[in-house]
Amino acid sequence: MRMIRYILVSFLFLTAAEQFFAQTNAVLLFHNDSLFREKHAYLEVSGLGAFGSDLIHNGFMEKMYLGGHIADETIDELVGNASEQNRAGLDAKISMQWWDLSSGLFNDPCLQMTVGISTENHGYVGFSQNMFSLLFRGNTAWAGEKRELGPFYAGYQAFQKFSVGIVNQRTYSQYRLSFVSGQDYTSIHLRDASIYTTSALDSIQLSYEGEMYRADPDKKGFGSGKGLGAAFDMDWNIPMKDNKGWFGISAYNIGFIKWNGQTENYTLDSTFTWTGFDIGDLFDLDEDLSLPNLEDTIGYTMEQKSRWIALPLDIRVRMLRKLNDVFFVDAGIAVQPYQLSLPELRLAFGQDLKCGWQFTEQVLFGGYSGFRLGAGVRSTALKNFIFHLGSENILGWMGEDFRGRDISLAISRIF
Amino acid sequence: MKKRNKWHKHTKVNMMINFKAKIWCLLILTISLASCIREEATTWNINAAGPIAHGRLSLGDMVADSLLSLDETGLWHLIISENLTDLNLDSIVSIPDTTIKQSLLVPLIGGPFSIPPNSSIIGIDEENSLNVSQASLKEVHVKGGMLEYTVRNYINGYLTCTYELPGVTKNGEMAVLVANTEPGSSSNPDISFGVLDLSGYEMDLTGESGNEINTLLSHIIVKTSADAPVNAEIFGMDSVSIELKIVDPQISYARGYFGQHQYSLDQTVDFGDALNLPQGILNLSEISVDFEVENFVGADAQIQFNQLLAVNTYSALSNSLNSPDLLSQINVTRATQIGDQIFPTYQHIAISESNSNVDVFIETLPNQVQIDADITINPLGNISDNNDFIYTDKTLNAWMNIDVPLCIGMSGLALSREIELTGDSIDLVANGELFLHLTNGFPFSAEINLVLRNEDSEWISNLIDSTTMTTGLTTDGFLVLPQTSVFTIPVTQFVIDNLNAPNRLFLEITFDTPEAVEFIKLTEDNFIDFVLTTRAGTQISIQ
Repeated sequence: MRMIRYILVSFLFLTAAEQFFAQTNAVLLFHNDSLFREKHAYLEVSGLGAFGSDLIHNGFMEKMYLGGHIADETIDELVGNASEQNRAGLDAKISMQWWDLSSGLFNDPCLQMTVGISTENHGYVGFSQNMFSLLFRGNTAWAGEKRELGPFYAGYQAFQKFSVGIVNQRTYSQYRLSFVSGQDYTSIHLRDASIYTTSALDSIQLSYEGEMYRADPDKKGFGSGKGLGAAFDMDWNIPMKDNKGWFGISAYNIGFIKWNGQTENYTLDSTFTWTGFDIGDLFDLDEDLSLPNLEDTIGYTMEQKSRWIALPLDIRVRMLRKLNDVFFVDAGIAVQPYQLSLPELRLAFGQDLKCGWQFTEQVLFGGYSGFRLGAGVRSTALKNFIFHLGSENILGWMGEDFRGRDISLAISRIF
Repeated sequence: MKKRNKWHKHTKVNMMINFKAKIWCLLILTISLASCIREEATTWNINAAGPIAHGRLSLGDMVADSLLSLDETGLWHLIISENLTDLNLDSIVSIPDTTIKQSLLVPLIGGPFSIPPNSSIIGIDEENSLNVSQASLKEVHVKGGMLEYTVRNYINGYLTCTYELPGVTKNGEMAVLVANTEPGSSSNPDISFGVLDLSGYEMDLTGESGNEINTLLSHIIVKTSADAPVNAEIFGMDSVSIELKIVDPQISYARGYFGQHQYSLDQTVDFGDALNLPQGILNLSEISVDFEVENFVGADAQIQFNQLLAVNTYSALSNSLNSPDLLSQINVTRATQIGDQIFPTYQHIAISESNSNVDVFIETLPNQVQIDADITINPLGNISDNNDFIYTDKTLNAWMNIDVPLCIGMSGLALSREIELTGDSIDLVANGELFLHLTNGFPFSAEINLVLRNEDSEWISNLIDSTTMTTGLTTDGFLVLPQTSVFTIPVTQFVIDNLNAPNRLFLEITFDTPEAVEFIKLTEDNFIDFVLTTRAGTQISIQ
């Protein structure tokens, strides 16, 4: 089971390319007529995984994920490069979409029904330089000093979506409603935190103030159904008047999950002073020597109640414009308001070769990682298949020092 | 045919392309999966610093709090109070199970005689002797036991047998047993059975005359039943048999002469772990031991202590208490009773260093005291004219009260504890130092040993090797200014591996006063504070 879990998670990570899912594939928009003429259905199976950070580089992340020893020099370098606040995030998704190209909904031959299932994982963490240093270098250097650790943010949501919707075969605009099954949810937000180690090392004072939420800990695993919700996804494509391009507006994961009544709601507001285990009864033979549970000494209040949480919303605006028969440009902006990523500016330059191949080269700025270069290839060379492979951080595959790595893979079949 | 070949060729090319596509997809997937399987733990090094443990060692940790008492000057006293007697004095007035059988004959000749209902047939008074061999009892109060009666009717008639016990009363009312029987025959008697709970009954055992001992008076009346439907048909020599059993009688009070009894007391008083007394040489001063005997029994007693032996089972040392006052014959006079009130008598023997070797006795640091004594009840015989008395819930108590003012001198007095490590195999890689901060608030020095031993208590390594902590400074009178010493314990992987194994950690604190003969007073302000801190590089591992 453990191996299977690794394999699944590995697949999620390595089949990563956020943008592929974000908006309609340019191949579809530019080759609509030729691809779907007299076809009955379209099936797309795809996966993406993306990791990005403005501090943590791929070498560090590989060790965290795949195992191995993180060298002291690596940690020193990261602590040295850290800003006052830093961020990292990951997205992973596997999806399968089916379009029925002969359904002709509402007596309109271009309105087709689409159904799909997907599983998504979204996580982020925002941390201070001191927090990173505490976790990876320890507190020895801070004896006699008080260090601020906050603010600290971390969040993770995993869920499955079962969607049904309408796709306009003329513009490939889509509108989908989804039933959402919550798999896992954890969130922690420390507005304020600090640590003080006395110079005599005889006490450590930890102050913290914030909240933490954890979905039903008794249920575990894929499809555990810790919460139920609904989502609306839209991808609206508007053809330019001269038919040489498209405007696109998309919004994914407009919705929520109501995590069940076993969700743990922690209020963290305490100053906890650690002076070591009290073993004053060492020579008292009437007493059994037993060490107290450290968790019992940490101050928090917890209540279990249901919690409504918004899904990780993703909003994008783009302009796709043919420059001539071969070249096109794809520019836009992406915003994920409920996560820690920055608004992302995107500019892609594409070549649509008439032999069934389409290439794009991208420049991106924002998100979790900052400046990136991307590239992708799409092909319709295989009859009735559309193939996509791409990465929005192509340099991430070239060295351990780059911050972030992603890949996307999609195979579509037209029936 | 040509067209068919063309189609065949086209299909073949498509199949080739599809096959290649599948191979590419499979290859990418395989490489992706193979390169991403986690094969080892993620590890990194941190330098952690902080406290691990703390505590305070005071006198209360050596001795149970219940044994310590502060006097008005703030000086600790060790107070040990132990009951030395475990005599079961109930036994001297116990009444064994007793069965009284009576066969009653109809005082007629010939027959049959037709006897109408409610006619008296037999009436008889009896004095029944209880089987009490050790005492001559005149009166007892019963707190438990049963009186079982069985009536066998060999007469052809409905009978009512009334068994009156004038000497057995409860709240002033006589015990009366009534048994109704149906007609029986000589070969097939009718049997009636009943039980009376004796709890709360008082028994007068002086018989009809009031001068007897151990004698229970009874009055038996056998009548034809008042509500008998027919007359009884009786022959001369017909009989009724009555059996009375006193079962497991429990005595709460007895009066009479209890006899002369001798008991040997061979008792070990085990202090157990309550004291946790250290091992070594201890000089104590101003020790006092009081022996108290409290007699609630209306009988004289004589106690002869043959030996009191203080035993330290750990060091195999023992010392007898040499006290002429205690080891001579102790006469305990009888208690007196006026109405319901008892006036006990007391004997008090004060033992001190001036009249005994009690200091040596206590300095053995005993965890046991072995007592050998003889006790005689009524050594002068029946001098009370059968008026001894006893309330069995409160009899003869002998107590030993030891008062040790903790004004002591010590040489090599060691307090130790061996801690069994659980061997939980915590995966810990570390290298650094532990710091043991010891703040000594005792006015004498102490030497610390911390030794790692294996499961068989064999030496592995010294973590702290005979290191002396600074003596607390005596300022004025009892006041001590605590002094702090810091000991450094190197933490190597060898030490960690052994702490992770099911070994033992032996901690010993050995106290020495500046001169063994010098007495130092221990007060509530004396303590040793210990704080264990660390500054070490350790490896964090996430599986």
